Amino acid sequence: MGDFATALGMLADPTLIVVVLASAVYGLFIGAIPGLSATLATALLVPFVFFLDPLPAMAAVITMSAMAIFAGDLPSALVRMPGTPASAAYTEDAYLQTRAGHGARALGVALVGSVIGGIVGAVVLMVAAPLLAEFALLFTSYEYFWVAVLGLTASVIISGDSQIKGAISLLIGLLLATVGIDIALGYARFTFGSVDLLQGISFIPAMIGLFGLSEVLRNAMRPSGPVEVIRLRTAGMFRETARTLRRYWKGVVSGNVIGSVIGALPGAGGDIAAWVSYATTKNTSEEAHRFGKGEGHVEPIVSAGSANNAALASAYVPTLVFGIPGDTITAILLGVLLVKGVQPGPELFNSDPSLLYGIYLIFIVANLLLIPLGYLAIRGSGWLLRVPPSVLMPMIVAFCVVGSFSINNGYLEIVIMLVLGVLGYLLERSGFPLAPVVLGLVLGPIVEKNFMQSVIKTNWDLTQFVTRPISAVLMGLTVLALLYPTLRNLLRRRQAVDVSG
Amino acid sequence: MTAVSWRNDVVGGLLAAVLGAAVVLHVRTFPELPDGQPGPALFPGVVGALLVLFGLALVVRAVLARGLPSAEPDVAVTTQGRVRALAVLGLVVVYLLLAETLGFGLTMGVLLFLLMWLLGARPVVAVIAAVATTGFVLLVFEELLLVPLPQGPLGW
Repeated sequence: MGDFATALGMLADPTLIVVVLASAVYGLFIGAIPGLSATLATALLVPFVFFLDPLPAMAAVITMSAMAIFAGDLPSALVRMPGTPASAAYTEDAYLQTRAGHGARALGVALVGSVIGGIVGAVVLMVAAPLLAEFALLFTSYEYFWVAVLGLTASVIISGDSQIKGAISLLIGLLLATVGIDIALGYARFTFGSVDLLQGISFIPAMIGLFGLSEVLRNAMRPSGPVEVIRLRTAGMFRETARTLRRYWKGVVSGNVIGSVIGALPGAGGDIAAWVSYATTKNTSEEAHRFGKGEGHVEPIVSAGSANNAALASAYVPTLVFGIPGDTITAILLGVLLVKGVQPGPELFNSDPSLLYGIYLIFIVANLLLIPLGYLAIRGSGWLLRVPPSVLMPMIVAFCVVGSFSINNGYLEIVIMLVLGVLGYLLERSGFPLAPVVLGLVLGPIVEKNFMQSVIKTNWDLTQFVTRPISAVLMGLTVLALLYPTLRNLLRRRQAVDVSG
Repeated sequence: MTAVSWRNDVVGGLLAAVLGAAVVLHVRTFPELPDGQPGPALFPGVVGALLVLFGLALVVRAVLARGLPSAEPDVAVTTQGRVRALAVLGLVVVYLLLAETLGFGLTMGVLLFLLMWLLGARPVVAVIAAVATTGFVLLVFEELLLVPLPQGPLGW
């Protein structure tokens, strides 16, 4: 309990309170702007949190992302554009509901659902992480090799329609990770004579480029016309919200379960959780014929709006326990923690429990803070959505430039940001997902280090990778993950035959 | 897939395969471990080989699927859009070239104004927003976070 008291004391730090409030406002703002994702918000926040201690740094990211994922629902309802990809699944329903005069209820449900989702995800984190950490203490370099490989495989498998493209994205990330001094001999790889590149591709500028500059480029390429914002009447919002949530309580449950599970998978974040939850609700609902048509329906907002926030929190389970990020936001955070010398992993649960209690508490505080701030954002949403992109986009570019520079006070970082920004734009435009690139960049060195350590330790006795019990299980899971798309196709074909036969 | 997008995949797949092949060839110049086992070359070598494999797989799949209708319509990119995107990149490049000589404040302020104006902001709004952003960055990064931003003849 002493650690818990220490954690409470850490929360009373005035710097932390200012940081949490500022990042909350920032998250609501970026989340509400269509085309600017929570990942972009994280990448641009990093140069600031880089100067903070680990707990305030994580508090900033946790608070900001909880706010941003909710705020993404605002433009969904008001202008039919998702503020972040996590809201895309139910944008149509939210907009149709608003047009039919139920906008306040739709956003109220989205807000309270987000708060419930965030808290449930945090509880899943508090329960699952220590249990898994106990187990992960048994891991050696062999097991860490397989866990990282499993994470990489999963990020490709869930990358949607094209696993080939997901794999290419991942390989590009892995390749970028090999730039610089190598782990076995200290040999300079792919530096082409540049002394500055010996340290490798600087991670934070890379993220700012991939998610910041590339999104500005996409917005500049396809400017959206002037938006017409629907007016909201918010009187009686919370009473109607409570009634709706009671009526569709099954959706709250299923959304939270789906969100918590999907969030914990490496590389799958709130957007995938929301899509899966939407599809599940549609398959099980008796009112599915009303989804996305006519006046829209509030039921998918209940479930998917909860699922994305639950996923956001449970993404911290693999991040903290294994050092394997659960989504792009935690991937960026993990990169920052590594740069700051904090190595997430099971040891953290023994060596620094007060930091972990602090993180748990921040999740609760951030989600409770979402109620008043989210309500204010709903009231002020018309104003939020009128910020002209012609002013906002250049401002973001300026922060991309200064943020990259500030990491090392160097111009090379700006060049890295620029190159990866163009790369990110081209990849996304051609249908290559960006999440596997980040995972490759973060996990590549971990895979290589643990492999090389293992083989040098045993003089290239590769059987250890297969014969150690936990290694064997992890390898089995990797193989299963690799076979999953094929198995699913076979099952679908059989079902199709059954139906037609 | 539309005519455009399957060709895109062919190009993307070929680029990935060529990159992978170049990596595989390049890592052959890397040194081995003292006992003759592969060291620095192993990991990038495997990644390069897999890039060749998946790149070619993407080409094959795109060619096989070229007759099928596309799931998502390709939104056309206009010339105006290209100009705007190039202007965004231009800001970063010109900043890289001039910041050290002219200093952060002057370079970023002017570039921000030009980009905002080009993207369609009214001149008055653009001036105010550019000055405010530059001032905010100077205040937060230089004064608060102590980042030594490039100083020009004016000292900021």
